[in-house]
Amino acid sequence: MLNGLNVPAGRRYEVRHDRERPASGPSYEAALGLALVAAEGTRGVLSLLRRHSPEEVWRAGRRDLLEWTEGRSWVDRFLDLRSRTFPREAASVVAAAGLVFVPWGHTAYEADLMALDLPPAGLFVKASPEAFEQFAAGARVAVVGTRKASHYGLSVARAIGRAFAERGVWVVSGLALGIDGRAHRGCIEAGGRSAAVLGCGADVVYPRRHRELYDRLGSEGVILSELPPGVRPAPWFFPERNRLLAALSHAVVVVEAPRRSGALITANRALDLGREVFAVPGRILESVSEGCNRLLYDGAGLCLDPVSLVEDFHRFARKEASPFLSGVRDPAPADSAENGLEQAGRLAVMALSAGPRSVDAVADVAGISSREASAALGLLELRGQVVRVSPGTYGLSGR
Amino acid sequence: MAAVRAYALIGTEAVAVQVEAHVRPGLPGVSMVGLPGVAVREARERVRSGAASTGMPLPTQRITVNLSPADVRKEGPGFDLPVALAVLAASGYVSKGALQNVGAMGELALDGLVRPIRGMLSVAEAARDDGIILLIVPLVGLAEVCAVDGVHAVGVRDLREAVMVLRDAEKRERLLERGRRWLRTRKLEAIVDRGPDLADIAGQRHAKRALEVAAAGGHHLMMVGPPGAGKTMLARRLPSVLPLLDATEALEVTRVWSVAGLHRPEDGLATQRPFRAPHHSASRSAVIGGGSPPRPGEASLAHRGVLFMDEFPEFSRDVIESLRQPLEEGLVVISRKGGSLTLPAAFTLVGAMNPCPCGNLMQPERVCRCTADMLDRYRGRLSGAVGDRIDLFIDVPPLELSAFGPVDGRDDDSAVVRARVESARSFRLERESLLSALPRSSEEGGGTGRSHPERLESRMGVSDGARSLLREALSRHVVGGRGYVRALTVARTLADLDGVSAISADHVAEALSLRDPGYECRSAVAAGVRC
Repeated sequence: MLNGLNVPAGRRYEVRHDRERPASGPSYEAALGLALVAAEGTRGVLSLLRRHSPEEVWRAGRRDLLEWTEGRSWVDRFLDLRSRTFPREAASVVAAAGLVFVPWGHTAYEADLMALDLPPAGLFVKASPEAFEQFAAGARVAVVGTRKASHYGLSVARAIGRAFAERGVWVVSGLALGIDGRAHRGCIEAGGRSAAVLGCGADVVYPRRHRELYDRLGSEGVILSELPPGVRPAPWFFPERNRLLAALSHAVVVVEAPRRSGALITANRALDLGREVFAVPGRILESVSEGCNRLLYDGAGLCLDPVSLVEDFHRFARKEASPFLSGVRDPAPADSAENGLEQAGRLAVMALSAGPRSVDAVADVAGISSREASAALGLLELRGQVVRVSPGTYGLSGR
Repeated sequence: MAAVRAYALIGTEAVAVQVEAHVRPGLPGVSMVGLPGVAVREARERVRSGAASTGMPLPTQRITVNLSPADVRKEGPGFDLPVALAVLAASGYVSKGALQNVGAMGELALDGLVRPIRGMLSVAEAARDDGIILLIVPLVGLAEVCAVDGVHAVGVRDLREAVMVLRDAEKRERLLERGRRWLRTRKLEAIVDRGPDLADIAGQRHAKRALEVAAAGGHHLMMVGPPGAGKTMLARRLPSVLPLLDATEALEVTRVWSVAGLHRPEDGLATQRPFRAPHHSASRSAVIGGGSPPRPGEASLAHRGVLFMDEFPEFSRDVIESLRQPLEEGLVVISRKGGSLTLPAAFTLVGAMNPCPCGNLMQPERVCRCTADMLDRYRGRLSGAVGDRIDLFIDVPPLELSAFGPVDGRDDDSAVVRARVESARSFRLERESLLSALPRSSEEGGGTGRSHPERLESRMGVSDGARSLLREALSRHVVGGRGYVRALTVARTLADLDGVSAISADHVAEALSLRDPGYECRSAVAAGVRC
């Protein structure tokens, strides 16, 4: 019925990137079908992709499936779902959502995903073809952390995002509030490219307040998900998303994570896949740093500062010979010009270097009166050197 | 027929009511006409018993009492004494001429004692304006009544004394003399209690400074801080640094409190600025006033004082929005089907809120479990008309342990701060009287958003450094139009506190640090800032 519309975008990809595998043909449809069925709950079928092509799985009879899987219980459910799934029609829905389905077998990153126990049957991608091609070929680092980050964590996430951007490394993260969003933003601010791996359909903006970031990533970077368009986020999707995030990156940097955190799931999956894991040290009394410090204790790479982190990344990442190393750009020199602030301002800045403080605390640390501190902070805020993290509490803006 | 003057309360105003009584043959009984309320209707039982108890039984004849004007609803027990006097005069216990230009108020006990009522101050003022030559009042209420200049009042203990006052000039003089004596002893007993002192609080210098600024400029204040940081303690001490009530203000405060039934009549005039702290479950009519008949709400009870709203975002949206009019105009208008009523409500609003619904945001070693959406909703309560009128925003962090311990006397106590506040206010009055020759373009408060910046700046007296800083704040979008006016107004107050006529850059910078973080803070929350 929708034959004319079903796969134009997908075909374009396949033609451009992988001439040997027909795009709209049975292989494409089989992979799309498997992606749809897997999202419905029979994820086990994805395990077969490690030994069989999507087409074989999609066509397989009950007896073959039972034999391959040693009689898993989901086989009948899979057959039922398969009989009610029509990939050709679904292809038009994917295109209508502004997405492209990149099926299993896309050469550029198959090796990265093959290592997974349950590799995705394909990825739903929102990106320009050029951006996706560069993403698939480029050096990629996952920068992840908690949604409820501290001011410190957010500043570090931004700095790390910038540092990787300046060296041409793709910053991959989950578009979540907190660390994720800050890492994406830092990367984009420094002119880099960033990719988001979502725990919902790639056309679903979640969280809502990251709409603007989502739009920018969709137009300049890459947004991808293994879930079909329109799927709403659900708690059980996020661990699966994290495994994909780990698989698609050459290393994982955990910026800030409490003891139980999705970021630690990402880190553990990355270790399973043999990726390098880095962690940013935090204050030992803060529960939000517990996960990171635990990772460091267990032997994760230590993020000394953003620049050495990027160098360590290049040293450890699998693509050591990547062209990005040769084209290394020096980070922009820090703005060292004297800003002409009064002494109170300088003292206040020094007082804030250890983290956000209230006005009275700044006054005490800087040894100035509460009034002076208040006025100095008012001026510094005006100049953009400090930000208010809550009324009356200031932190350095991280510029 | 005999007639005496009484007064009905409408809001905080008293209106004259003529109480007429007529005795004629017929079945014994008292009938009352002229729109009496339930309590007024019941006056006939108290009057009958009170009169009998004091040896003046009512005649066994038909007694009609009329309250004029007949279209004003009369409420409350204050009509007992006038009704009794009118009936007794009609019955011949008092000569009818003796009630000429005489007013009365008071509730009767069954044994004839005269008890105080609500709103005696308002009644006294109305009686003075009405040309009453003798106002008969409960003895306990004499202090409150005599706070009004030009009232000729006599305090009576019971109905018998009230009748004696009217019958016997000598007795009247004795009772007047007793009243004067009584007032003198009251004055001696009066203890001036200024309430809790600022020096009781350790640390929190930033917050104390903000209280001083709020007091000097009449700015509304919002305090943000975790539970236990001392927000309520600080707010309770704001009245102690406000200037003492002047005579007019004291009358205004007493009038409202008396009408609400919260004023002790033997105290005379109020001496302390009110501090009202309604709970966040308070209804709109509890805060703004209402009911039938309408009574003053918390906003009016806080008139000339402080209205403290703890857990500000937890108040219902209805209550928060209803504060708009008092914040803007210093009064509330209650509109009901019977007409509208204006009550005074010029207060300093002090709000307190947690940084987030769970209170743990920004707290070291504590975990905030609120979602970003919850935070937005919580802080969103502050937006709009009410948030726009709060000039000062401060953070009240929890105290470090070291701040407790022996008070070293480093911080100023309330009297010292109040002296600075008073001198800032008089400096401001002086400055404004010099400016009064100029065309009035604007004053601080409502409606200043449209004034031209330069005209405003020239009225305020802005130095070049301050001007360029303000321009910079505007051009960097740190403040918008309203924020600009507020920053300027607060800077003016800071300059007044320093006693200088030109606002300096320091004043502007400090004012900027005391402003509403507004959208910047909200966008920081949107980006997930947690500390």
